[in-house]
Amino acid sequence: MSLLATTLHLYLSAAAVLAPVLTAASDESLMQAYSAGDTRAFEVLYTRHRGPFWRYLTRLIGSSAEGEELFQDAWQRVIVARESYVSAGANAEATGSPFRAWLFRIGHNLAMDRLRHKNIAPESSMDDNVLQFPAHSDAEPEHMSISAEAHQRLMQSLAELPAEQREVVLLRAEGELSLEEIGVLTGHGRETVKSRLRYALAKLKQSLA
Amino acid sequence: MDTRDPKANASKAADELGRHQRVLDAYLAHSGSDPMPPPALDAKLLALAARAVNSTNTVPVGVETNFASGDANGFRSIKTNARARRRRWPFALAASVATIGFVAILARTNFQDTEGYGEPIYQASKYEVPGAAADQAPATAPLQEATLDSSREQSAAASMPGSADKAKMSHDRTIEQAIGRISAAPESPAPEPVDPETTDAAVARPIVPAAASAPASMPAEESDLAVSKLGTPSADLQAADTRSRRSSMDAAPAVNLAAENAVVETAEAPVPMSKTIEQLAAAEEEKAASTASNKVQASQAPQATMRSEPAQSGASAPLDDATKKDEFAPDAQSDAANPHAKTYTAIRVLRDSGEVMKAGAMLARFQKAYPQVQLPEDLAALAKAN
Repeated sequence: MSLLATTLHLYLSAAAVLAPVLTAASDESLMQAYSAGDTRAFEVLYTRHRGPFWRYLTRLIGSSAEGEELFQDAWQRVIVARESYVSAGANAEATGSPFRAWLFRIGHNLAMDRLRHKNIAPESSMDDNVLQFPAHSDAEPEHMSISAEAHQRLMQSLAELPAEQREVVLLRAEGELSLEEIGVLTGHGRETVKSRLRYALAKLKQSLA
Repeated sequence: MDTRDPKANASKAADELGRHQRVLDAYLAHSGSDPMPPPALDAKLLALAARAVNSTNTVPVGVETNFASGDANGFRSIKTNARARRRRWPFALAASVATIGFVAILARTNFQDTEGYGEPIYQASKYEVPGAAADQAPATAPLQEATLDSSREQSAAASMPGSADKAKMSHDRTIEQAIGRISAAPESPAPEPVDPETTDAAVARPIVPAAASAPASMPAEESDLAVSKLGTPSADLQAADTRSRRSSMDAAPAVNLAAENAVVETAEAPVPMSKTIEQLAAAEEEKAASTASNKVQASQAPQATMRSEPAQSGASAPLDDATKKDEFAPDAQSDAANPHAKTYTAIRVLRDSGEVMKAGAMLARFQKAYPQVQLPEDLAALAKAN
């Protein structure tokens, strides 16, 4: 009985020590740990990127249902290709190919394939689930109504942007990628990305004014 | 942008980026950072990731397809399918064996009982019974042929347009003629009880003395009817196995004739076969005598038939005019007012059953034998048509 209690105590102690370590670890080290069989590393990695990646896909496609499919497909590709990512990007952090850029590149490719397969342009309007503003329980009703209105205007302006400008804005805002990373991801030069971003933000500023 | 002043350009770019960043901050502030994937999707992806790591070494080939398509039960479904395949093979084997057996039975039945055109063909060698039944097997051959001819006539009559009633009438007339023939024939002794232990129907037939079952004075029209039922004598002679018949008749003529008569009483075709067989044999001998140059062979042929039918030894000779004339002679039971009623009926039966040529030939022989007789209207029309 004492042995069991000791083992449980040691396990809890190790988990308590390792949890902050995993949370503070970089994406690349978490990916390596997951490839080695540590599923907690994947949980941390997933929790870290799920929100921005979800918003990027749903707002790029304009449909929450298709965005969910793309989100699931992208993470499954991450799971399947974990070993190839580790072997090819062992020093990804040093070479400027971080996990976040890799994840968003997967999402970008899936979204482009989906749009090309359907032979349609990205939605110029977003469905209600994408436009819906998240409710905060501690927010005041007046502030919440104003924010909801601004959010709806912003989403509508975002949907009206050209696909290239919209994607650049989303990659910059949600993915927090640099202009160089966006250029590598989309296959365009840095200046092109910068120009698109400037035009897109100008339109969004008008909508928010 | 002014490229001549790097400092000014740098500050201007910083301002631009600052403005961009402010817009982005505003975007983030207004777009909300809370939109997240549904918890069910989170749980599914996390479970998928854990399963992929834990079952790396046990993943069968091709499972990545199901895995990538988001099927969380991909592993289990593949294993279930393999297990189901292993359990299905006995049923597949049983179904295959049953199918092959059924096809084999069908093929055997068709190829044994039919030949060429789908009609059952009698072959004496197939039905010969080794031992005691060997002598009786050929005797059943003409009977089966007669039965088949009768059925063919009825089917031919039935195939004529609007001939359902005709076929029924023909069948009824045939039965009536058989009844009249049986009642007119000399009484034969009752068939002996069949030994219940005997399973072979050919062996179980009663043995009746030849003299009692084969009357010497058979009405001429019956023989004509019998011949007509069997078709032309030459055609039937070609179909029959004459050698086996002759040898069997030489060996045990009484047994053959008795068996034939016993069968005739219960057969569907009400034709007395003993007379028919005798006439067929006689015609065969006639043909042999006319073609062969050996006089001895021609003289021996009638002797074989005389054993079984001494009273009609003359029947082995060619059918002359006198014989043809006698076949239409009224018997003792004929109506005095219309002594040729049976002949007319026989001709009508042939005509109604589709044997118009035979009816015409029979009518011509009758007219030749009795030129002074006034024919009924329908038969006169038939004679005129011929």
